[in-house]
Amino acid sequence: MKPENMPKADFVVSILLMIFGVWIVIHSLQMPRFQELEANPFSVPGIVPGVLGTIIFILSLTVFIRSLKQGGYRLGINRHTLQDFLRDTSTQRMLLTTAICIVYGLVMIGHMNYYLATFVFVWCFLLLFQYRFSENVIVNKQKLLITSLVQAALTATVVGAVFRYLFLVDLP
Amino acid sequence: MVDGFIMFTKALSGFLLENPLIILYVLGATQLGIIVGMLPGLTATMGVALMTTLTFKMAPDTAVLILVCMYVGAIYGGSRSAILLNIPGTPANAATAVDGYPLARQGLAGKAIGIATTGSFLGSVIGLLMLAFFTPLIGNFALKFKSFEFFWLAIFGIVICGNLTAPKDPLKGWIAGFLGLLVAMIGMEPYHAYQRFSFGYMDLSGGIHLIPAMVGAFGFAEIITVMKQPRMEVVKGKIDRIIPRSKNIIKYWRSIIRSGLVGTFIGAIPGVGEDIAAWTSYDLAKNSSKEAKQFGKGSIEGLLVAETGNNSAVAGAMIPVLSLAIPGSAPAAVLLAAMFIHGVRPGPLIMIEFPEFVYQVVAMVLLATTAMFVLGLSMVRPLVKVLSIPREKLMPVVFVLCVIGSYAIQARLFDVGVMVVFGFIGYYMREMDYPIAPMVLGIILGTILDKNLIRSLIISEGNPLYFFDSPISIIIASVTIITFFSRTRWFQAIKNNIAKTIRTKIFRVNKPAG
Amino acid sequence: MKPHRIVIAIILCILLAMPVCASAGTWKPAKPIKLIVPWGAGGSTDQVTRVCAGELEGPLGQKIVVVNQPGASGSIGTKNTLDAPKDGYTWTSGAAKDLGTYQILGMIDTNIRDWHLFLNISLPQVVAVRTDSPYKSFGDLLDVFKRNPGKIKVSSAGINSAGHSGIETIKKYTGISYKHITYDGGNPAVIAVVAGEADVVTQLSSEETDMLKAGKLRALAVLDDNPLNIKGYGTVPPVTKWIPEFKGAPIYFGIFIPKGVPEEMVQTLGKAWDNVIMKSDRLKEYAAGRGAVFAPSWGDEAQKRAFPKIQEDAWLKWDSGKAKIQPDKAGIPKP
Repeated sequence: MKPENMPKADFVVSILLMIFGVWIVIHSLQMPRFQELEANPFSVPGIVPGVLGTIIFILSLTVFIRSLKQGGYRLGINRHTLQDFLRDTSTQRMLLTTAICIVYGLVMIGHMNYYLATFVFVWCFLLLFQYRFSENVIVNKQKLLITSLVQAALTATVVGAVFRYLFLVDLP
Repeated sequence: MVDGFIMFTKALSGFLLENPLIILYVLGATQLGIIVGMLPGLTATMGVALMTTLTFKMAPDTAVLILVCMYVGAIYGGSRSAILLNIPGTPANAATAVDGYPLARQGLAGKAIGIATTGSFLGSVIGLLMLAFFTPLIGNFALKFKSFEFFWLAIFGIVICGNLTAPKDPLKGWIAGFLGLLVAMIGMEPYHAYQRFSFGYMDLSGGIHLIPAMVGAFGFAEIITVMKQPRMEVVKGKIDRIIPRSKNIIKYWRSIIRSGLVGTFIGAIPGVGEDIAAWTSYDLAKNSSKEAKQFGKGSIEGLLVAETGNNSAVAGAMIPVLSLAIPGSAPAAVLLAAMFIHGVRPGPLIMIEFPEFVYQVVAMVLLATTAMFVLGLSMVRPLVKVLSIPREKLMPVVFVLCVIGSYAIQARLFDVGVMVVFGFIGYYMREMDYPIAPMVLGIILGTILDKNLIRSLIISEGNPLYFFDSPISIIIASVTIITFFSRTRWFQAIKNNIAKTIRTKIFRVNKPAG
Repeated sequence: MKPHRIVIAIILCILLAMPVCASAGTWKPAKPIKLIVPWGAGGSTDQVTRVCAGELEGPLGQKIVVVNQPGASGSIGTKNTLDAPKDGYTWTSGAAKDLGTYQILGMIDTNIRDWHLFLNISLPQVVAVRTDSPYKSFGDLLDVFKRNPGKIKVSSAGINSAGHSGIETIKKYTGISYKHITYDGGNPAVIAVVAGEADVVTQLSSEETDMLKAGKLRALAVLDDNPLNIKGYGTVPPVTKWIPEFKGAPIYFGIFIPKGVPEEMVQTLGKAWDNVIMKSDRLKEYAAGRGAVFAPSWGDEAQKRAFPKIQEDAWLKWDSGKAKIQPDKAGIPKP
């Protein structure tokens, strides 16, 4: 993110944070007070989150006011900027990374054999990035295929075995 | 003190002469500790707990020795991944990454590891001297920390950490810190056992655990950030020298001793661990350094004091374990439980009933520290090669480690989900210039703040004057408040005005003479 | 982080690695047993439970891993035990009166009759103050309480803890009021008085013994009708000296296993209780050194012994408005 974009980002984030702070405070106020138990009024569960929510609100309000002064409300989002954003290599790389990591971390793990899941993940990761976004011209596709295969297999077995037998973790 | 020294020598020679195998145990346990510390997700607490089970059948002194080695090794080991990958291995090393990673990016990873190792070693040595000679004294100091002091300490931690990690815009650092404190509010609350913010989900009622959140916010977020860049230069790791030149270290002797002492004292405060020790000594060093501008960009001094701070806290955390049977930090709590299992009963009577045990612990820390120093300086060259691995090849492996590391703590898939979610939170926070370290510290300090604020309010019945009732409260509170307001414009204006008046007055006074 | 989760992982691993060898009649654990202490390390439950665990490992032929899960007045660890599979490999521990009153306090929906009780010792509460405190006797303290209602700070290990029920019983007889300050366990509550944050502690004798012997605390009275002898400190006068009508039932400690576990498991542990715990010198020695009463029992006998304190405590909480469910609706008649 370029620094000159910061007021805009601050503007949006501070609004979100202020809403979050208010939500926390409302939620804290709704927490039980245990009056029927004659609980000490200073011991009720909502007191600390309520205070923290208020502090978040005040701090983000400061950021909000500052971003207003710097003209952050002129967001300037239109179809053009969005298209640029989506076509940017960085965005594509980021989306690919997160997608593949989520598939591995949230879908594959726990639903299939750990070693297999890890092997498939590492192999796909290596192939996708080296093939799609390679900075150099790929000299030998076959060689790439095989080295990736070896690295994926090694990672899966070594990590799996170390955690299973050295750290006694029951693999998912 | 002479008695103490005799008992210490006896304990040390006892370890070395009785059982020559002990050296192997020490080296093995410390090396394992370093590995545990390096891997994101595996922490000192987990390492010590794991070793407690494995050493169940051993003689008490050998078992406790192995646990101490594990503890010292793990707190040091976390510095390596902090330097090489910008992912602190344990929460205690978050301050190490601030200067360690920039150094590695400048191609000085070998030097950085050398500095970190030396810092850790010196910190441990200062800590163990304090442990040897001032255990009763510091034990009493730990007693001075009551609810109000704990409350201020938690706020202090957030304020200085936010200030340090977001030097341009501390507001964002503080917001991150308070968000972390809020994350710690999730789950069962300690007073009435009411489930806050769990929305009926069983998994949430246990709260968000620090480790998966930390691994996600530092680890996964780092992976996304690194992979996102269209191209990235591979650092050529030129290693000239790993063992730092002694004049480079001696130059900072003031900072080192200060950090060592501060680290020991903070380590000794029950419940506050190595993480706050590292941040506080970093803050103190930055404020008094001639090279303050370098901090955060690869300062040798910053790296050195961060590691001195967290490793001296290890010895510090053992002081209340021995003198009060109250742990100074989470791994020390496991260590205390292990002592109970082995029939050693630390507590206020230990100096009367078993003074030799205190010196045995000192000897243990010394052995562990020496092993850490030797192991830390060897094997650096192959390790630094990590930096020259292209990121496409390195990052999937790091993510595999993040996943298994967050799963390993409780064997719950929910924690892998927590890791991924905090990865996104961490990534977007970074993009929006919000630092992550204060949030992680906030998660650590959240329960401390909660319990002690409630207790303080009950005691004071809401009277704010009680919050400034003791010298320690006043000191921590005023440092916190000054740090907080020193970043506002009107405070700067007042400061400049005062400076100006002083200068003009001096100028006038000096004029006739000049 | 909580180290016990790793222990679960370790236990699961060992379960996978070892063949399950169960023969009819006697129960042979095939993997380490997890024994949850729902209070902090170093507290009275923790100490006595660790001693018992050490004694039981031999006869059961299996490791017993003690895990501290403190929080919310012991209810977090207890609830985890209740939620664990009923295979006999997860036990909990603590005071029987806590287990019996979680239901009426609305904390966990469980009744004392839903549990197998294996009791080991009983402990009285001791009223103690700092050594430099001006209160020299329990009588002094009562005067101060009456002169400053709601001002004297009493520390305890939380709502429903032994210390809290101790001061509540005194309140019932004398009508005093106090300021209740809670800590994470008995040991931190005692330390708070030593450190000067609270004025009085009414925790269990075992938690105060170290500080009494070290000369940092002064014991004013024991909440019982007999004086208490603590080895290395001296004799503590009974509270009946000042409140003659005071009736206290002892607080029983033990190991608890939820009903629904295999019957042979209960019988095997019962046998071990008869043969090992009842003859244990280590436990006897521990009890003598910590101001505790050695009193093992199990099965119906244990239920019978533990019940009076539960009755007393449950109605005390109902009368003072701290309970959510009327005790007789939970099967606890008025004493």
